[in-house]
Amino acid sequence: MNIKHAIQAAAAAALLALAQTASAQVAVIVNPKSSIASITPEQAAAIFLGKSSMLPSGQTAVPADLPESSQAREIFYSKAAGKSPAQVKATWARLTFSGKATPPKELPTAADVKKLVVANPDAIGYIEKSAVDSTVKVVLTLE
Amino acid sequence: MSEKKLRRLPLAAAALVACVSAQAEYQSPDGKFRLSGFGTIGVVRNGTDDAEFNYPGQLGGATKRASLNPDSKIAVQGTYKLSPTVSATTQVLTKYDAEGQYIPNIEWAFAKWQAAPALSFRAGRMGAPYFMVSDFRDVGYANTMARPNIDVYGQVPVSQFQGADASYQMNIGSSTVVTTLWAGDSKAQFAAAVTSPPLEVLIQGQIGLNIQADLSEGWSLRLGHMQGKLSLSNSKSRQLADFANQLAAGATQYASSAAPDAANGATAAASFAQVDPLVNPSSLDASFTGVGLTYDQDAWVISGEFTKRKVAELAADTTAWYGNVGYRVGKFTPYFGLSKIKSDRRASNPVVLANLASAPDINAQSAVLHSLVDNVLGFQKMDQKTTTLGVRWDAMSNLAIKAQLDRITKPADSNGMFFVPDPASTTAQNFLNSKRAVNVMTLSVDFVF
Repeated sequence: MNIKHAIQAAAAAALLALAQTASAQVAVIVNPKSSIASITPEQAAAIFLGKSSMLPSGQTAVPADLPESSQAREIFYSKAAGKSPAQVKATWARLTFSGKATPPKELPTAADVKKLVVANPDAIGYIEKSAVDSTVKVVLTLE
Repeated sequence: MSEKKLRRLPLAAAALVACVSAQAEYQSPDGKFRLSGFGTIGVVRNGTDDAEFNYPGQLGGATKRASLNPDSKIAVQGTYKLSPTVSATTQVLTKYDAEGQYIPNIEWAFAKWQAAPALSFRAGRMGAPYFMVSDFRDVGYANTMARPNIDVYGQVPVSQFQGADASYQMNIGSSTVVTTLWAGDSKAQFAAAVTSPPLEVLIQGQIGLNIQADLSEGWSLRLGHMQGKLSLSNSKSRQLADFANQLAAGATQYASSAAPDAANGATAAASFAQVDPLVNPSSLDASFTGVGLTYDQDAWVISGEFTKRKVAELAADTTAWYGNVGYRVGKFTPYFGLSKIKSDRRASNPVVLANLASAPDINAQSAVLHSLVDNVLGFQKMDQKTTTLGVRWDAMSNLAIKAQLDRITKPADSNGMFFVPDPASTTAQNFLNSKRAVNVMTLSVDFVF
């Protein structure tokens, strides 16, 4: 493979990755009974990055993360907080090893996050927009 | 490779295995118990053999022969949730210490009560929050640079306190402001030389206030102030005080003798009597004040702190600051930093050389006392400035590799933050009395597990 082809291939791969990222939307979800109507990206980031343990409603938040390999997780942190996965990890290392906070519970799939949100009025999670159904309430959409 | 280094190899190997095999921390099935850890394997090479580079307080460090000691460490932390609002945390940290050993030390052991969503209380042994990154200064992975800035963090020899704190969190617009009031006692060992045992450092009755504001757009601001009572002592400083007091008693005898020895005897005796409180300071008023600013969002990572240490009676007042800037390019973060520590006031040697016609032995001993006191005061001469250039590579999701070059410049009549094994040696005297620029190279692997 000559250099020209390599560059073309790389560019194509980059464009494809970009297109995938751009098309994916992430919804921040809460229990339908929650009094929260909407939440700002800053508020969502504060809860998931241990800056605030409170929901806008004043209750103690119960946040749930998706696994590190999940694309929704990467989009959530980059759009809500401007942080890469490594930055998120470093932030939690700071909080964990100063005994200030513990990271959100990590759940394996979007279905598990929905299940938690349905069961707990103080739970908050994020999932791919396409996975949203009537059992949960969307309070923020990130894209 | 020395025997000591060989003994360290298993530690390094265990750390590496832990970080590669345990990608994620352990969490018990019921979610109540979490176990996690962090560590660093770091190699440092100092550009001089005349003084050693270390993290202040350690017994020795790197010379032109590279050393694992200044930065290598491993820690394990466990947190158990007794109830949704009460938890207990313990951290055990092993790093090269003031006795030149790797002995696991209980760094934290505290209970936390989240009384309300915005209000929490802690009691036990915790990180002493003198600085912006006090609590995670040892967690290399959580920091951009290879180590916390020594010009600033080297001012305070304690890292933990036993006591209690209360934190209150307020949300103002999109900012979060956490106000923490803390109180307690700190104790630490600080190696100032190989030729004397580590200093026992006590800071009692500390009370401090910290305000941490996480502003929007990635900025955060931190203000902190504390005050307490400082005591420093070791067996050698007590011996030195005994020697000075005996000499004072001897010189006092001549104060009542015939002139001209009377005046000189009195002056010398008075100066010798000042040695004890100087080398064994006890319950001195000490305070520490710091302002810090960070920006961490998207590509830029910026941090800076400005601090002032005051120990009035000892005249060990310092001002120190640093500023660091990093720019993320994919998994690489090249960074640059500047820092400086300056003595605002420094204790001078009070010992007057005796000149007694009838007591040549006292004259000779006063010269010895003078130089011994000089050696003790030498380790407080810590003026230096540092230019730092480095790069952090986030090689794995829980592992970062850093290469860093520090160019440290220290003026004459200062040891900077360098460790001087034997302050009385000719090499040490030459180092103290000359202006130097020293390059320190660091390669480290930081991980969390």
